[in-house]
Amino acid sequence: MTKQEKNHNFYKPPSFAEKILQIMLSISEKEGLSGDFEEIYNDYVEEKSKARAWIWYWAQILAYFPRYISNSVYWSFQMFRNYLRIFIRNLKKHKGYSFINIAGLAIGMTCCVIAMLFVQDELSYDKFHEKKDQTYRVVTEVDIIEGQKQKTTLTKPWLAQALIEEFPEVMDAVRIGTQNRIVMSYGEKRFNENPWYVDQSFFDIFTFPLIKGNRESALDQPFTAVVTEKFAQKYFGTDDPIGKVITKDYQNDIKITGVLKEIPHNSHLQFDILISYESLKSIYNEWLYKNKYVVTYVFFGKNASIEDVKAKFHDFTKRHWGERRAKRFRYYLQPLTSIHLYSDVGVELGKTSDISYSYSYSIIAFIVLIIACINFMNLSTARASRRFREVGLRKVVGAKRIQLIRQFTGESILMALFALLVAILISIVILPYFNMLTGKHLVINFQVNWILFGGLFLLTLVVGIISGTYPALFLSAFRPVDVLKSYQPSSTKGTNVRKGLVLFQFAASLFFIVSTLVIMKQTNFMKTKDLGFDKKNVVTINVWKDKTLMKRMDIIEGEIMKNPDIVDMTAYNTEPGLGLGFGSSYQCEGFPEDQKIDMYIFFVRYDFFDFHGIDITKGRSFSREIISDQERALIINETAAKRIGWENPLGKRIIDKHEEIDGRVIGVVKDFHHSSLREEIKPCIFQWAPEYLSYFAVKIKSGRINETVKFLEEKWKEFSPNQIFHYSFLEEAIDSYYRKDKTMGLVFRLSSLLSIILACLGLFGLAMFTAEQRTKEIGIRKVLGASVPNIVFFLSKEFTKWVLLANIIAWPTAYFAMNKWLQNFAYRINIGIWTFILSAILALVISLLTVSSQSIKAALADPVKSLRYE
Amino acid sequence: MYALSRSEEEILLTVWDLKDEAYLVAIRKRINKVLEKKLTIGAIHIPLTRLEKAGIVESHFGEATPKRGGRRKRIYTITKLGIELLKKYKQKQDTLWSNFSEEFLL
Repeated sequence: MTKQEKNHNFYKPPSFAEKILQIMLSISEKEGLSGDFEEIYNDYVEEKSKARAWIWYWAQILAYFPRYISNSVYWSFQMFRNYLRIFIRNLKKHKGYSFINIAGLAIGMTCCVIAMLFVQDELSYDKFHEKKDQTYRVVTEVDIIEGQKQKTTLTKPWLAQALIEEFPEVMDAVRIGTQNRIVMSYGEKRFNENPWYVDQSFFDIFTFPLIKGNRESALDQPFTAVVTEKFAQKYFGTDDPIGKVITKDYQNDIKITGVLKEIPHNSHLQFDILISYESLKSIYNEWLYKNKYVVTYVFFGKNASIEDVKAKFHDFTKRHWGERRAKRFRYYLQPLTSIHLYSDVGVELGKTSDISYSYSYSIIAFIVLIIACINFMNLSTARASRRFREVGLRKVVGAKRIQLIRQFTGESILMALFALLVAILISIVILPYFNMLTGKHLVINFQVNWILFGGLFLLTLVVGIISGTYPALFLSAFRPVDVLKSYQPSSTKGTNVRKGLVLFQFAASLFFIVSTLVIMKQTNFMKTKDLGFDKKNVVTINVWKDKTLMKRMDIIEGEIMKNPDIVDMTAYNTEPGLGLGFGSSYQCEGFPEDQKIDMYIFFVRYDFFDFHGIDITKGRSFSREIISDQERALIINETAAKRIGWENPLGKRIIDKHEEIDGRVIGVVKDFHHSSLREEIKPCIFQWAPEYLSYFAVKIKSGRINETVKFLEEKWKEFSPNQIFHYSFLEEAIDSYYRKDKTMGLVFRLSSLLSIILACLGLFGLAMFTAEQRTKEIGIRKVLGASVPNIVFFLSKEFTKWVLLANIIAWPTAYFAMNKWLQNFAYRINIGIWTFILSAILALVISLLTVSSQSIKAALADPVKSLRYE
Repeated sequence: MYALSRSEEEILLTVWDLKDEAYLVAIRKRINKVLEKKLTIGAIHIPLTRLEKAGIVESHFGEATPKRGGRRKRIYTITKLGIELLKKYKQKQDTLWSNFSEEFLL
């Protein structure tokens, strides 16, 4: 080696350009050519200059670049066209498969879309308020009786002002007082409304935009009101509502000073008319104005510590309520945005929901989606493994593994995307029905729901990639020579995974079936359970607005009983089956002072028990003839009798702690379900107290309901011309108590239906696949003398095993979940082993039917045909 | 018979000339020098690839030098088929050229 060579300098070409060169060169050319480039580069450096060399190098690469791009685009387009053609051919050739695959995934995705829309809507409640994070509602918690707390949103009206004055953190507060079923009239138009009375600060705290009127001063003056667009439309039509005067209760004239934009449906505050709070000063007497309960919302400063405020609440309570009452009296703060989902408070301004619905819906949707994805992957892989010949040929022609993966994943992604498209279409179609069912206002809006659809899109990609990669890897592992020599790769490799997935699918389906059966049984139980009183054809009429009606009850009774369709009539203050009366603790004769018993009182008319067919078990019912029965006589239910523990309750005295109720027991009445079946029967007292009644109950001959209700309405116009006739059917009202459970039942029924359909689709596909794969085996078996039933049995056996195994997983989970759900009900069914056995049989029969349709087809095939080819 | 283009002919002859040193850079250098051309790499490489596909030349890897960043040279050699082809070409060319040279010399 000469000295010169040793000292030879090596110049490295620009590294970025070199990298591009490496990418553009094909593998076989890479080494030789890049070496050549480097050598020439070095020559240039030595002969000319580094800069010249650099320019040359880059120029070489840039000059080739357009060619390279157009070349690769051209060829990938050619390949893509080929892939697409093969894909479409395959789709067409196996229509059944394609349909099952796409439909299955689409169904799963639809569930997901709807559930997510639901959850998103639930979570969006009250988020539109600009000051949502600083706004809280004050909740009062009271210990009514030992160990029994009651939470309520109701607070005294002075609270708002006191909070602003005594807590520097509180910036503002608003009171909302409500009145129900108030007659509002404008000219000839007369409707029942539920007006809210609010402070002007309502508009500072909440973000409800006004279309017309001055936001700053709309509710400054007494007898001014802000109404919604809908309300304005109802009363004033197309006229400008500003300045119009409507009359409330035939007494007060109220001027409209503003029009609100429609209240968003995802607001827990729902109202039609807001009247200035000051108006109450003239509407109520002074005591009522100061004491009538309101709901209070407070608005905190930006950096206020809510914890500090909470800590100071106890002292605050002590100051205002006194030491003794503060012990059983607490204030809480509820964040505005958590009211809809987390509130567990007794009196709410509107309907609230529960986060558990969001959870259960999303879990269900997620399970169904997983089943659908599994299906998709199962079928795609099964399907793809039949294309070994194509893969073999491609490999021979020079396809690289990455190309195969690209092809197969591309195909499944395309399928999955198609399914997504179908899912969106289905969702759009069925959303209105879902809204009807749940009372929601869900709409698909890609701008708002972009996270959801982005997520689904990603999921589609992932599902596509997984279900494409597996067969690509699996198939590209074969030696093309073997594949092309008409050798059939036994695909036992994938079958175990696939069967495991089938196992999971059926376990999930079984879980849904068991749950559905349990929920159906429970709802049916609640529907058919004898509540202990007669509720058929009973119409209740709310009369508490017009006290004179109650006083005239005997006259009214005489008047309407003339109608032969009216069978009977009574009155009470609490409709039976729809809740408890007032709770209090009672001192019972013969027991020490400190052994008061908590009981609930119902005010009724003397004929209440007769009317509802409730039996008196001891003593007698109230009698119209005995005047002293009014208010002096008490009837208790069996639970109360048991709880108090008198040997003979008749004639015993009961006094409540405020000594407002004081009387002697004249009878014991059979227990009836005063509330929903979720709750246990409590000890109850019944008193004949004509003063306190607020409902008329009328029993109508069946088949004459509509005419008679019309008759009652006519009559009511005479009895109480100022009030609007308001009635409801007792049975319907009680049924609506279980609406949530019914909706839940329906959701479960739907999901079990969907999951079993999906699982069966998957099973069907797999059965089809195995039957096809084993064509030859079946042919040989037939030739050797196997009968058709033999073969059907032999093909179905496998799947049956897996479906049966699925029970082992599904039973305990379903039992656990359903047992937990049933704990909500004081009166509930036993789950019973039969529910499980029935679901198992159901799943088995359905799966056998699915599999056997394919098995029979395979078994009936002519063995000559299946053995001939090759 | 494969129809050689002019540049292919030049390249082939250079490959023959350079023997064991017939790799792209050397071929290019020599052609550019002898024929006073400024051919790019592609102008050599593409005909070479074509010739290789047609079985007129074949290639193998030679040694690596530091100047090449440690990469091996791709050395081209003419196959038997290529030699046959060259021979035939020479014959035809000579026939064509012979008259010219005779008259020119006269």
